[in-house]
Amino acid sequence: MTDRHILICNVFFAPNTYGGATIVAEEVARALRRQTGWQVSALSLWVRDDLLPYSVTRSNVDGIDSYLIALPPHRRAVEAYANPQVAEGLGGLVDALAPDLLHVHCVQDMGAGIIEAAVSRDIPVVLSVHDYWWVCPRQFMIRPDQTFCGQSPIDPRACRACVPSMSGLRTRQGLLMRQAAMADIVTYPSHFALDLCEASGLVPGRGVVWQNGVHPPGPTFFADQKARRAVDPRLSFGYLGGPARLKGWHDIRAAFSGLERGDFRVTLVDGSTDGSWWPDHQFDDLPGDWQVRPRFGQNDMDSFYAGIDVLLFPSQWKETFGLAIREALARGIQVIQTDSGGTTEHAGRDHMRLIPIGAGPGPLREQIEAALEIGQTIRAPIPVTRFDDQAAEFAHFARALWGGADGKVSPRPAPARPATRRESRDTAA
Amino acid sequence: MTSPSRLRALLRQFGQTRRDLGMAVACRMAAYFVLRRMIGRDHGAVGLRRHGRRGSGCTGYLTGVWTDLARRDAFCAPEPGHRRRPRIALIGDLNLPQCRKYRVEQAGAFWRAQGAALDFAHFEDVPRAVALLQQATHLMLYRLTAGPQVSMYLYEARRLGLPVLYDIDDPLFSVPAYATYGNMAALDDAARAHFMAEAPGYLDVMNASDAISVSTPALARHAAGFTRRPVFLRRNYADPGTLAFRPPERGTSGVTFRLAFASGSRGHEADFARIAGPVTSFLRADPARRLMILGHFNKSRLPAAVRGQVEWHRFTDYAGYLARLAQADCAVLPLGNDLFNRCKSGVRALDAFAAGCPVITDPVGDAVSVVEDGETGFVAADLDGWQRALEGLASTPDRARAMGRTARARLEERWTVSGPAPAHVADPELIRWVTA
Repeated sequence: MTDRHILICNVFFAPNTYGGATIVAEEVARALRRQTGWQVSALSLWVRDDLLPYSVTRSNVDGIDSYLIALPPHRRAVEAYANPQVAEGLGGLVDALAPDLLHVHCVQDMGAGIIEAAVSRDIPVVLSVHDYWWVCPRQFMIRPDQTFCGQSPIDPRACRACVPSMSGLRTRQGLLMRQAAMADIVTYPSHFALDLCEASGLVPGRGVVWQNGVHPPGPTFFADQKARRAVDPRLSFGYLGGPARLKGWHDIRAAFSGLERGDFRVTLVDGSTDGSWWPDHQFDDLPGDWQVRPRFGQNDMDSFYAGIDVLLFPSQWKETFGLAIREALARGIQVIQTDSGGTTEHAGRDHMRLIPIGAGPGPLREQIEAALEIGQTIRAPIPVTRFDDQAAEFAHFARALWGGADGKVSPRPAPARPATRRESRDTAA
Repeated sequence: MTSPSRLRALLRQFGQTRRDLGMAVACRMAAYFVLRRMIGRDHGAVGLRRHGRRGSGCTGYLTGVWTDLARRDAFCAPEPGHRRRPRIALIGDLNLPQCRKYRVEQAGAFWRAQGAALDFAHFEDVPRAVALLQQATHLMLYRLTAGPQVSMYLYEARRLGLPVLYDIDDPLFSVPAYATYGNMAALDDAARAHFMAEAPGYLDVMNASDAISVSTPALARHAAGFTRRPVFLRRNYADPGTLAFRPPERGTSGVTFRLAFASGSRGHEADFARIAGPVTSFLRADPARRLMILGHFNKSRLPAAVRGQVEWHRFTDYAGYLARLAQADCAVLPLGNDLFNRCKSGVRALDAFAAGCPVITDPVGDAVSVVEDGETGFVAADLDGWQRALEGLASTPDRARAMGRTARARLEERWTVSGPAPAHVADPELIRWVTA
């Protein structure tokens, strides 16, 4: 079994890392290698003007061969979901590498044809849905006016204002549904995402919930946190979402501007690759001590979390997971969050008051004031899925597809066992 | 067309952006959106930004990639560790058809039979060559001299952790071989000087590689004097493309005997000149005898006395060449005894055998390993030997035909590779070097 080989497809992958789903794809890949000894390779994209379009470049990061397809800078809109040249590149790679399984993550701009390319070569496929790309042409169910769409299930007839062409939308939807149906297993990071996507027609009955993992705190995390608290007794808030209304920035600003005390710190993370999120923003008119720090990677996240006591997550849309919330909970950090879809499916939700989406800054200010009243406290970490757990579960899926005795997921053509769904605790707004 | 509802949505987005980020940002984003729509493009994935810039030329094709990977601490990509069938990327000079057949296309069949895949590209087809490297486990450079492109391929191969094999079938790296090569007499001074000056460049690439494969034992011995790299033998043989030709039964015609001289490149007039005497005598002895000349030949270099008995055939494809050979009663392979010719392979004997044609050859080069004297042809020690061999075959046509059939049979028995290569075709160390 140790000579198994998994080929991962994700729009980004190290050395071209970007976004939360990429973190998941990379970390699971590394954990899978560690745990099973299986070989893992990755296929991702980069846009290049200096290479022959769709040529492949091999790199290697942490023992994982990373193949990058060179996309031309200018592409047609349809190629974001149907790109036969990427599918051909994947097919050539499958022929050369002979992987035992294709794991399809976020494939916007790759196109869904890679699934068929693998299936036609008798390679089992696990499709991992991380956002709404498979059911929403705008990927995140965010309307052009930057408000959450809120359909549940999605009715394409209501998407007219969001798309250039209804005919194009129908074409896209039909193609993606057909391709997804070829996957042996479809995973979702949350019950919320599973329910919404399946209700919207994405391979009903074949989905399973496969929660994303996070890295646990490092060995010095709690000592670092304690040392910081000893030096500075002020409560410290952290926010990762950027200056976007959808992420709740405007509520955060309004909530803090109404406070009558200033004995706290706020750290804003600039998650952009070019440091462009915060330079135009002024915080002089806000109480407290505000600072901006650059984005961090998986290796140095503890330095951020050791510096905060409360994570602010006032997202104004129904997200599929919420990696930062789990990272914070695993470190005993208080989370103030909205009732935002899959972000709430964790063991800490019973001990917090979820803020309704669209409630405005008032409820957020109340929770901030309450936290300030309590001050710095030691909270027990809340158990969350770790990347090692997530990788182990994936190995279980894979062995099932290969006919292992311990697997319970049936391979194609019989649909995988339906997910054991909990009662849906969320409905789209 | 944009629907009214979508237009309203876009206007709402503009208004929201203006309120959140200011009029300047909103206008900039709107202009970008309109521009993208005008040129028919949609947005790609968030974060999918352009890398590299066009215009660095073929030799700088990979410079941008190398720079980006280095900045991401991902420059070196060691040889893939997972189970992989060996896959050779052969990058070579594919301009000479006979070289392409025996050292490139045949290499594909050869390595497939050894359990390895092989893909090839002409060295000037940079995008294809680079693409092959990305999925290869080995690089093979064929018949290439030093230059910016070759340096780029070597650099990329090292980045990818690929072992490099250099393959060559003529002593192009050898000044001594060129300096004494009789066929060089057909070239002008400038051409001779050019070949001499190129030799060190070939040696540079050989020495930049990890191992070398050559087509004959003599070439292996000669190359070993120029490099400390291991030198392996991989002889040319009759591949499936050659064996697919089935020699037809020879028909009767007014011609009593037809001998064939084939020339795949320029300069072989000097080879023919060695046997011009015996051939002229042979033709003059019977006006119904014919000399077929296949391929490149300067007609002015042919003795005037035999021109009326010469059949000229232009250089053609391989199948056409074998079909012509099959019309001959005997093929002649004259080679002057010089260092360059001693390194030559026996491909023209293999071709003749495939056509069911016996061969008369000089005792020079690797053809003597192919031709069994008195069985499948003759190894003529001197000009008298040529005369005797020609007359002997012409006087016993049944024996000549029988030798041709034997030649074809020996070809199929001894000079084919359908599985593990026999040791006289390829050094076992070479096979292990690639497949182990």
